[in-house]
Amino acid sequence: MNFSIPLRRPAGLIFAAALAAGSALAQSSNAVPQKTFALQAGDTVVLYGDDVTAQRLYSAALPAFVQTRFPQLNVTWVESGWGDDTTTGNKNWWGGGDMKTRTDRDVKAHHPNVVVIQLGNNDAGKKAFDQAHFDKFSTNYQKVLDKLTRDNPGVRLTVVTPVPYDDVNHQPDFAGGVNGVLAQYAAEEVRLAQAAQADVVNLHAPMSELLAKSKAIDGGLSEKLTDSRWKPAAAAQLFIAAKIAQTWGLDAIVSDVTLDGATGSVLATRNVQVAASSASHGVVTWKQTDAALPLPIDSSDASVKLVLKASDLIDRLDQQRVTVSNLVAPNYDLKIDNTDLGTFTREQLAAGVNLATLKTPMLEQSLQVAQLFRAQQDIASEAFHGIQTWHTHYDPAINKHMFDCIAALHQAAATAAQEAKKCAQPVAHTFTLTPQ
Amino acid sequence: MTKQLFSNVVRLLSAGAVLAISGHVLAQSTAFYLHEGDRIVTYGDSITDQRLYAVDIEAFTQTRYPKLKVTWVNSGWGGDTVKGGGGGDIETRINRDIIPYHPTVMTIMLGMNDGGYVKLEPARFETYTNGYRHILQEVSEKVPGVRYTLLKASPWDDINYPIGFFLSTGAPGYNATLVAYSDEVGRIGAELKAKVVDFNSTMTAMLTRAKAIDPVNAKEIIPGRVHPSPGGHVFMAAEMAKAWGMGPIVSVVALDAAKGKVLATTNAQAKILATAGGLTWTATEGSLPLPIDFQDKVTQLVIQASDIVDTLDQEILRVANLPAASYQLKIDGKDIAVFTQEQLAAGVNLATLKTPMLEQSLKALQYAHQHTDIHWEVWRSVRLNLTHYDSAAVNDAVNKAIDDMEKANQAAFELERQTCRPLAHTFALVPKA
Repeated sequence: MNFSIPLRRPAGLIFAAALAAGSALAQSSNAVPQKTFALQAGDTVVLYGDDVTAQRLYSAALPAFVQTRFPQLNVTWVESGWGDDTTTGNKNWWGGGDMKTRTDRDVKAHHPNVVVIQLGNNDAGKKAFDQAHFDKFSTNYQKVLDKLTRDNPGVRLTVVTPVPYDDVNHQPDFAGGVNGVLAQYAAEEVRLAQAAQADVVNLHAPMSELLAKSKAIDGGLSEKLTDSRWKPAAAAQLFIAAKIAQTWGLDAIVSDVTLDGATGSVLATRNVQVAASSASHGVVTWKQTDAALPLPIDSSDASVKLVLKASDLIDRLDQQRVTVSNLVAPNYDLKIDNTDLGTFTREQLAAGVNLATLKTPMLEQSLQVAQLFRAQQDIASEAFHGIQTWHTHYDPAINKHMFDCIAALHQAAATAAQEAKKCAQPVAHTFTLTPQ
Repeated sequence: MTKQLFSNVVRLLSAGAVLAISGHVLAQSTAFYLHEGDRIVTYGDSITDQRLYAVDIEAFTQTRYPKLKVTWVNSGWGGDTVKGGGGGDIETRINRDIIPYHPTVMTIMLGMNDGGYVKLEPARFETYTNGYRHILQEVSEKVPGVRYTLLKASPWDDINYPIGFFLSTGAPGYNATLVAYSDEVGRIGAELKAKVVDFNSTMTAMLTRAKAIDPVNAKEIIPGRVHPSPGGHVFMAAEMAKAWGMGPIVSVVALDAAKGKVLATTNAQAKILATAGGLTWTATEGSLPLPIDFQDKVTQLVIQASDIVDTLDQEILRVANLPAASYQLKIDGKDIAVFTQEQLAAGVNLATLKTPMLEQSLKALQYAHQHTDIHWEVWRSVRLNLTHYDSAAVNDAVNKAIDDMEKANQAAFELERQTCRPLAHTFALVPKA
């Protein structure tokens, strides 16, 4: 079985020359982030936003993206999204209160070092551009930035612009469409964010492009990338997490190993330790401990596959490369531990193959990390949105138990986060290339 | 209260019987369908999942029989049919949402979704009847001796909305389909000798009367034609209560103002305190009036278009031989209402007035809602969604939270029961100038 795998070598990959066969190398490790990465040990990141954040999809994927790339990094994540939220909050009974309440209770109380702000879609609504409305939005957005900066001294802000309204798979409701209006809101957020020296993730344009490319590939499926034309479905939310991670400085390399297939010698490594490499009777084996895991992306899902095809996510962020030169046989079966990964041609292996999207034990481990972060956010959300919001207005005799329950759920959420970090730790795997 | 009904009550009271009889409540409850220790599971679709009629019948029961110890679990799930639905297939629903509670009594209301919102189709009907019987068979096998109350589905409102709304063929409307389904429930009930409560025809008749009284608010009894409003659910709970044998009497206190004597009581204890400047007495009623929000406009219309108060909610005060033309009734110092001498002599019903007893009853209803809502949260949000992780440590921590929620559920139910306990109140009739 041959895999069609992107063979592009990631930019910046440096090969060490003439390394001794069998030498175990630990080059620069990504276990903790470089100083250029936006997050550092001990950071508390609050994800503050509307429905898109409250869906707990990008907001659960993002911690998993970071933790799987930097397993030693200790960061606390708080999802503080609230459906229907705007720059002024939402004072309806189902809303989270006004902006002051939201930022006091749902941001400041968590003492963040980093706040991701994802707002704007509900402010713009689904109507034609209105200058007065837009001006109010701009003023209110500035107020949010000012308050978050004032409340949380030294906080680093990341502004995420609105997600697109799907005028690609559907006819726009009016000339220019809702998405045209959102483009102006996005531009304003970029302007305000830059003035505030915040990081900017201008999601609107690339995500609009993603929809257009997806439509060209699979019109039927691309419609399903959003719900109600704007709330990104799970696959599209991976794209959001990727864009934020990229803005923060996450690079392409999960790990990179280059071996000489004739001798079994290690020629180069990055972010990986290799031991016990050998070549005998055409069979190449080595033990590899990657310092990072591939991104937790299940590409067996059709919508995810479409997003990957219509974007450069894998090229930009998810390269777990193995290169083996000087192989003799035309085809080789790759096995990791006891898992068959498929058959590769000699040429593919010489050019380098990306394991990140394959069902490797490392991807399984990574998906478990993601599941645990999702658990953390689901449990924390239940504690806050499900119980604290709706079930603590009772008689003290009842509330006593509800508060115990909330504490227990927060403990469960914290446990899930700890488990996620534990689960992300590097594991050694045995790789075998056997000629067919 | 109708004159006919009151005269019947009065006939039951011996003119010479002055002593208040304790233990009336338990005596009264012996004919009631529920018994000490019963565990009731209310099962159904979104109409049960609304947590209204199911909570009302709980509070109706607990306020009428404060000493009766039974437990209540609501297991409705929106969109459900006899085959299950969003909460899993019927085997999952039965084994997860019924059996673990070991019900001695189970109520079932299904049909609204089973009919498919189309005219009667034989295949759908067969699925319904087979599925309905399957549920009963399965539950009976797993919980031997369970008693069923089969609830004929509440109507699709073809009275206040145009017939044929969903049907391209026009008449008959979707409720005709539900009537056929209800008839089948009646047949199954007869076979099993189960209790059957007909929500459909009784509510349709009530809707017809309500439309004649107030066509605007009548549309609000089942807004959207499927899900009854709180007022509509009060009607359903009342139909259940009647079917279960709840009688009309909350309490009766009959006094003679001239002699300063208690003439008779039913389910109450009373003692005259003073006769100077009117009449003052203390009374402890064995039950509370039904917890009905009489301030709600739609509920008011339902009450007007039904016999709920006459048949279930009589908290009677009768005072003979009052000298003045009219009196201010006070309870615990609070003005309640003004009555004429004649009204008081004939007997007045306090159940629908804003008395401390009704407030107490509504408080009990509030606790019933709270424990039901907490159960819903622990069941639907926590147990179903947050306990299936690969990490035992996470699951253990969540299970601790579940234990706390169950304690909260129990605390709310205890508060409901405590709130239903009879309290003494001081009544005064002060002559109006």
